Amino acid sequence: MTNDCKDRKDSLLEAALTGETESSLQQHLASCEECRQELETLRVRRARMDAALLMVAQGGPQPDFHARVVQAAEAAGQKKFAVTGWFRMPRLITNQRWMFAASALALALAIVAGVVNLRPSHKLLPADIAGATQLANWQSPTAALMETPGKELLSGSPQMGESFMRMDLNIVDLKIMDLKIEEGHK
Amino acid sequence: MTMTGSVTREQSFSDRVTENQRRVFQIAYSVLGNAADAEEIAQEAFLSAYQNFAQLRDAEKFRAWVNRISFRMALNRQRGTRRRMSRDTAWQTLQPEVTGGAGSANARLLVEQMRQQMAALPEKLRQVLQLSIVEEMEAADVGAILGIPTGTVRSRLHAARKLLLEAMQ
Ligand SMILES: [Zn+2]
Repeated sequence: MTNDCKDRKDSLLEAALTGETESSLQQHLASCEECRQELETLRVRRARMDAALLMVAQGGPQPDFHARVVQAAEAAGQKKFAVTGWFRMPRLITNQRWMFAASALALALAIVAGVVNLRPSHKLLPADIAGATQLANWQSPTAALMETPGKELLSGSPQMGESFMRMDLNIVDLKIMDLKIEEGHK
Repeated sequence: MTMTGSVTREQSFSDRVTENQRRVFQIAYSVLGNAADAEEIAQEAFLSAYQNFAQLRDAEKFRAWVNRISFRMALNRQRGTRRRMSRDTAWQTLQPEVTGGAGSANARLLVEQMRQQMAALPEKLRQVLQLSIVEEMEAADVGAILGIPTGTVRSRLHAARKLLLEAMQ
């Protein structure tokens, strides 16, 4: 093997991978038996490699997989429906109850203010109102829905007319994923 | 209301599972190398899609979603497994289960060696390779899962195959 041959190691790999031989390599191969053999060896290896790669992911789930998934989904759906029903039905009652509680709190505050400051107040603090509004609008099933592994994807779901594939989110997501992978390796 | 609109949620979910289950399984299997774990991940991915089905009615959206979720769940599972085991023994435990016609001892050995060599690849190259070897996965699908352009998918795939070929004896 000449020095010229050593320099062609990369070209031989490329040729074996792509099946295309660049012209300068072609010329060399015409006069170099050693490199011709090397290329042949690499081609055989490449075929073996691709066969092995295909087998790495080959196969499918068990025949009853579909039935199991659909059954599990229906069970989860029924459970979710039950929860939704429980939260939705007494929604008005909950609101009324909260308004009652808020009034009671306002009254309590007023009394406290009256006693301590000798200055009656009927006003709730803005933070209390905000908190109450939040609580009144609280919907557990929606929150639960968003707590799935695809949360990031969902929250970045495209609006009408936007293409799903063009989401920039993917890139950000990948970076986060890579960071996590790196952390995992430490 | 069109006819499509009258298809029940359960029926269309069932159809989506049929269309996607083999690929979703393979995505997880490619990462984990264990059929039982891959099936578990595939099921979790579909259940997650079911919970968000209102936003995934579109078949393409559903496909993209389950592809991505199963890959990420598989990576998470793998990290958990690796954390519990030392890296040296991880690949011995995560042995491939080659079934059916490819079940010869030779094929099994070849697959096992390939998995070990894939494990030695840089992360970014390995991920592209793992997804690319799944049946019916185009470069665009791989790019969508990883959030990288199709051209990057192709160049990383090429780089991964080159490293593997170089490492082969
Ligand atoms: Zn030569």
